[in-house]
Amino acid sequence: MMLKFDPIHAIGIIISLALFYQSARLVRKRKESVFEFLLWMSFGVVLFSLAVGSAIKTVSMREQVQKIFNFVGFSSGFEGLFALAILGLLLMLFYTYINAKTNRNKLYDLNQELALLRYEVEKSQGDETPSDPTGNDD
Amino acid sequence: MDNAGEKATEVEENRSRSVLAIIPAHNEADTICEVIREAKEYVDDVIVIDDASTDDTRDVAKNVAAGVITHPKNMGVGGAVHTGYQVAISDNYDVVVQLDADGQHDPSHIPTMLTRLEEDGTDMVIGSRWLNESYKDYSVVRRAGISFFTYEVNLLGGLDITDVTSGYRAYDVDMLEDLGRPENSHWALEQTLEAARKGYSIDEISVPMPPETDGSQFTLETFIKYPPRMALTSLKVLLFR
Repeated sequence: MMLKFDPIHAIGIIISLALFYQSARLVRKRKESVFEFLLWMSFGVVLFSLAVGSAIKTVSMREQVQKIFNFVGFSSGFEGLFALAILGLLLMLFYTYINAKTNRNKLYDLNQELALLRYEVEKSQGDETPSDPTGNDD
Repeated sequence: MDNAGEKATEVEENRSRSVLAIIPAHNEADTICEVIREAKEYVDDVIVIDDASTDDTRDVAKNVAAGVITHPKNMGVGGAVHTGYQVAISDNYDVVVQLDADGQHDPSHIPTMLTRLEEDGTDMVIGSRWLNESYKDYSVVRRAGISFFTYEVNLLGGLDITDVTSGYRAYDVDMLEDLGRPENSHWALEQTLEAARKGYSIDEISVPMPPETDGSQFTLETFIKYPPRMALTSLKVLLFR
């Protein structure tokens, strides 16, 4: 197997390792975000494969990528650009979904906290005048 | 009822640990009162977690339960039971029993669950409909779904249980303190898998459960949605817990 590393390959590998580190950091800190883990890990794997794969000169990475692009209906030029743009949009969509999910979990936490606080207040007041928990007091 | 009453008194006398029953409820005004009354015979206190009901669940429950906690917004069963666990932990109860508000779970099985917890030192006891004939009354789709999820949890958690989706459970509170917050849906799978992987002991008792209750919907749509969610839930436990 013949390897020929250019600076661009090294940059690709470094970035993919950073993405792996980000995935590992999520696990170590127990962030509990499976989607975020999958996002960084999958992009890391793709980038690492491209970086290492294109450095192996016995297999032409460019040809392989071109074959895959042709197979799914994209060829070079503008269509290839569109394919990359779609990938970029998917990344943004994925990331937006993660943010929405994180915010929803925070709302659940606040919802629970509010319910427990109301319960504590009612208990300490002897439960004399319970307020409408939905907030529709008027 | 006399037998149940005598049994309850016997259990009360033999019990050395404080027991809290938690009942998650969403629009269960018709049935919750009876469930609370029956459960009270076997435990120290009963609290209801009203998951943003739009009917009279809260008002009905307040008349008979020791406490009612009301979520301002609906969270799902996982969120509701977790709120109940928080109360049990902060109020220093030793044991939590959890049962549905729709009457599917017969409270007369609570003494058997408590006995398993106290005498056998089990950390979690699950009421299984697979240890009796009642599971045969369920639809094929529902039975297939429950069997699939149980198989997966057994495989990943090294368990040998029969009904992982059952919500009729009793817990040692020390274990609950150690478990993470479950998702609002599929909480039972997540909780069981996490407990198993952390080395807690899980046991089952036979509890007949009728399928025709409003709170127990398991449709084809649920069956299709569950596998990917199940995969994510499993990944979450395997990676982060």
